[in-house]
Amino acid sequence: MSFRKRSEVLGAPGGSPRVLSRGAGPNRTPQQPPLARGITPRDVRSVTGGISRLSVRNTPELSPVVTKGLELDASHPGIRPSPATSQPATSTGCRDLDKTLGHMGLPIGQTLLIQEQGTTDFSSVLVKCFAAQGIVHNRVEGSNAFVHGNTHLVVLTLNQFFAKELPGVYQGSRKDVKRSKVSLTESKITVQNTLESGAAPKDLKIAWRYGLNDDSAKNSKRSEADLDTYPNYSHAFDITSRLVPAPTSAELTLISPNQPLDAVLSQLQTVFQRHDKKLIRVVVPNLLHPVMYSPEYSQLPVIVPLLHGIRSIIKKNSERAVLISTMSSDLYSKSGSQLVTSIENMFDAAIDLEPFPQEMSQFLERVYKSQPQKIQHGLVHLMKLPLLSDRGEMHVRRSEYAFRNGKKKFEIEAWGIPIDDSEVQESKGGIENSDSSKSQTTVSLDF
Amino acid sequence: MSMAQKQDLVIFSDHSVLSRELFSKDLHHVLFVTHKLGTSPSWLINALVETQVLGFPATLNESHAAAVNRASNRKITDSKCATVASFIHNRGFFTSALKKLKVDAECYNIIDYMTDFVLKNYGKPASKVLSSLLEELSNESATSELLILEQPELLVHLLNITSDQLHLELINPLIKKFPLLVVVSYTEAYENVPSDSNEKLSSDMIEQIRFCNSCFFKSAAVLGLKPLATGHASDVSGTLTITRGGASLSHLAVHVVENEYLFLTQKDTTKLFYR
Repeated sequence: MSFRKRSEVLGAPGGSPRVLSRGAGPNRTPQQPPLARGITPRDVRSVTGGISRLSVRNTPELSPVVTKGLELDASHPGIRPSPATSQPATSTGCRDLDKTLGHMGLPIGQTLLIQEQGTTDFSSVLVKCFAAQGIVHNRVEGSNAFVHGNTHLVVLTLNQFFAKELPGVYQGSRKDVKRSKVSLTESKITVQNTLESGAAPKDLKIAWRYGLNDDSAKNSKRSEADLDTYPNYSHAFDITSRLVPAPTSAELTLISPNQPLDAVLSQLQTVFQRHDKKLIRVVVPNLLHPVMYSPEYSQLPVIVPLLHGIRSIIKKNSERAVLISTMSSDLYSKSGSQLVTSIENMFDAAIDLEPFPQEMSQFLERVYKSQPQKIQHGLVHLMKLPLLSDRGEMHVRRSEYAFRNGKKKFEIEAWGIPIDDSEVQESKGGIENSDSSKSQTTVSLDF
Repeated sequence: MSMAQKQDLVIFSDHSVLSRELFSKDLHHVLFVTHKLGTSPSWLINALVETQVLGFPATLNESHAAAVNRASNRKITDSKCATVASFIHNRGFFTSALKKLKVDAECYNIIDYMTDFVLKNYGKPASKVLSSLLEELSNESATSELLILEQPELLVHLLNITSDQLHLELINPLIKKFPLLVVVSYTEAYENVPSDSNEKLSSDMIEQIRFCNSCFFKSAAVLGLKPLATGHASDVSGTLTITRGGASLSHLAVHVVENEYLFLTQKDTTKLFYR
């Protein structure tokens, strides 16, 4: 709030030019009536008019700051600025992956490749969380979202049931779920509930005694734990549950990869045109999987144009598109062939999941015998990070992170080989034995 | 490493990055920039464009703020502009980076061969596409003395051609059009050749090796960017190795100064150090 001097013209840009007289000078225009010392009712009217014009004029002055694409997504629940580059990023559906990528999400307009070694399928968990996160963002606005949503999902797959396999939002532990169910049934207006309503104060007393009624404190704690500023940015997904209701064609488009390249690209382009004001999340699961892709796709002259075309569409819509893809790197050898490196080259970011071999898993199981929730399932190798690697920063980090897949989240943490207590005890025991043999001659201490 | 003395980038013996000798006579030269996973060459491309526009890589070794402060004092040389044609990055990638470095937009031209390249050219005969590319790029020679081609090797797969065809129909004619052509290539696969020579190489690998070898032979200098063999380090991003290529510079008064630098890229700035 600032105060202007009387002699300054309201509504003039910057308010700097002063008009000293009321006379019809050359500067005087009907849009900007000057205010002189003697204020008449007509002047007051003109001042209010000037103020109203001020507010109208100020809006277009602000808008050029926001670019065209960002304007669409300014209030999008799934977009926040990256702490590293302040470019808008969207959540991948896995908080730890968001953190690992360095932007608290995948920056808009970027593409991510998740490679996986071995015969496991951990990458599909990440893909499904990414897809489910898009659907949940879309539904933040309520029932209206099915028609006028803010996010659309495109999946290049032959799996017609992809939509039905998406995980649901994690509702809390079993106790939390039970409690919420009880409260839900109690809140319903049924005959039984109205009959029991007389007993409610007594229940409340007990509830108060055990602190069950203290919801407000719990809620405030939860909101503190969550990111206050971006409440709907990222969710935890329970991979044992399903997203209900399953996404419909209004929220998700399936494109078969097993068709001519130009057909795939034109279908993808059509989706972008049809949903011109939505964030488009493109998912390419199991790239080059022999079940979905015909053998010729594993030849570079076929796969490179496909990926180049998809990349081009994503970059063309770089203010509202992200892509995630998974691929088994064991199917295609890295040495002697250019396929894997060429595919990596087509993506802005790449990570590699390497599940632990059996011996390592057994070792971890033994070490974390009392804490089975700490057992990691494999290593995460970082190849490229979005935006950062492209500008020349070196972000290849092998064997620095480990992942753990749980019911409620896919965790990525710094990797360190844990200490085997049994080995330590054995070695200690050995030392103690040797000590005891020495200490036979000394006087034992009394405690 | 922060205390180590920063070094100016010198490629030619007259203490320059791009010697004016290269542009002095009606001669044509090639520089070959190779890079690997983790060492993107965008800073080097920007430095080359800056050198062409301003005469020296003004923002190399400078902190971003200092570089911006110095931007107002720069004088644009009277040399012709630089053109960057990329098959992997779009126009916005380069313009935003060069805008940050305060390089005047009129002094360079970006040709975007990433956006819609497949949609426009898929299914067309390769020779026709190559000739149209050549024509478009040749037109740039009227205003540009320097052409930077980023990842032209992708054309081998995009158009399903051999590396020889690419060299004969695009690279060689372009060398004749521009005083200086810089080919930037991703050579991650090049060094992934299995040590066991009995293993059969795939045809695409052979094409990649053939493309790189041809570039090595044609170039006056090779600038190799690669990460440290020991992996990630917080104070070094990688090494820049400058070596002589197959083409001789005996007809010029300058020669390539072979050297190896360590470089650190952080937040839009790159600093060079001696190894």
